[in-house]
Amino acid sequence: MDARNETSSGLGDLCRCGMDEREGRMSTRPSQPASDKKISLFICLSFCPSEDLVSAISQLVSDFCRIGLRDLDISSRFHMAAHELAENITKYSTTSRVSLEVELSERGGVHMLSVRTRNVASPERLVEVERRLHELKFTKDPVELYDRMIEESAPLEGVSGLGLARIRAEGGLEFDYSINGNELTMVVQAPVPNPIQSKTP
Amino acid sequence: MTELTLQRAVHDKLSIVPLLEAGTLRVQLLGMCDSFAVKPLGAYLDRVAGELVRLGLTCVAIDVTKLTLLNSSSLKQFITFIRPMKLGESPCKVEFVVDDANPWQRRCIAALVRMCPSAVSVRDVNGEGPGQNPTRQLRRVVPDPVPKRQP
Repeated sequence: MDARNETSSGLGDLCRCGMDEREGRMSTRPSQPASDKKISLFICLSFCPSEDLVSAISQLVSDFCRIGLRDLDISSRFHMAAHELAENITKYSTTSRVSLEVELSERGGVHMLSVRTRNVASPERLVEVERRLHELKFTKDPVELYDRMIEESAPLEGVSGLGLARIRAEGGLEFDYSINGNELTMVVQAPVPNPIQSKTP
Repeated sequence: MTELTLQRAVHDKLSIVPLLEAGTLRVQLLGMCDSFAVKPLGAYLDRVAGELVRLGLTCVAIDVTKLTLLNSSSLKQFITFIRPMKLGESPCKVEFVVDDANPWQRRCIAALVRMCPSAVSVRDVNGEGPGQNPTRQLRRVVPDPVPKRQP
């Protein structure tokens, strides 16, 4: 069995759906919510990878956080994360369709905000990226890893390769990924304040 | 040789405004540093480095208070700019001016401070000094929303 055929995801149902069933669709709710998880918002943007769209998409995520959660700090963390993820899928997709989803859910009294991206990448790219993603997911010290990657990238010209490490270290967000065939799914998430409580002045 | 040769620059959603005042070079970034800004920003920082040498200055203030986003590739341009200072090839120091009302700015720049603490500092535009430990702030996690148990 190909080691990259199915990489398990610690975030369970967050990484379950495939690109095919989502392609070209804008949905208001996920197709496979866990039974004990309540989804209060789900946005799926499926689009042709374009640098022109990246800023608009990350701004949408930021605006949602700012208005829906009334929390500038969380808004800025997810703005950065959504931008880095959207840039990644735009840069490395080998097909004309990528997707970015935003989900606000509640389970056991804990409200979670997550951003999930999906794209198809070349096998060569996936081999390289999986090594990095694995290290990023399981590191005990994201800041140390980020600083080390900065040191390593400093003398190199071209792409920074820092975006995902930055999401974990600077954003303080949880990170997970799965690889199914040539499709890469990445998820970042964090607990957020109760959206209802946050509406009180 | 005391006049600034750097000029204001506009690239897509990023504007760069240089100012020489009281012997200090100040470079203000306004707008957004996304993928379209990466190369122009890198080229501009190269010119800033040259201008510091030409004017015999050893300090530059980079004002990011009006910046709404700095992507990792743009951050890399600052890493490249700072690297000669870290290696001791440049005597210059960089002070980043942030607005702590936008907490992402200090969090973002914290990585540059950790990279080269002897040459890079950060201060709030409203006067707060560099006393805050950027590493500590960086490690702060999103607040736990789990409601407290009722007695």
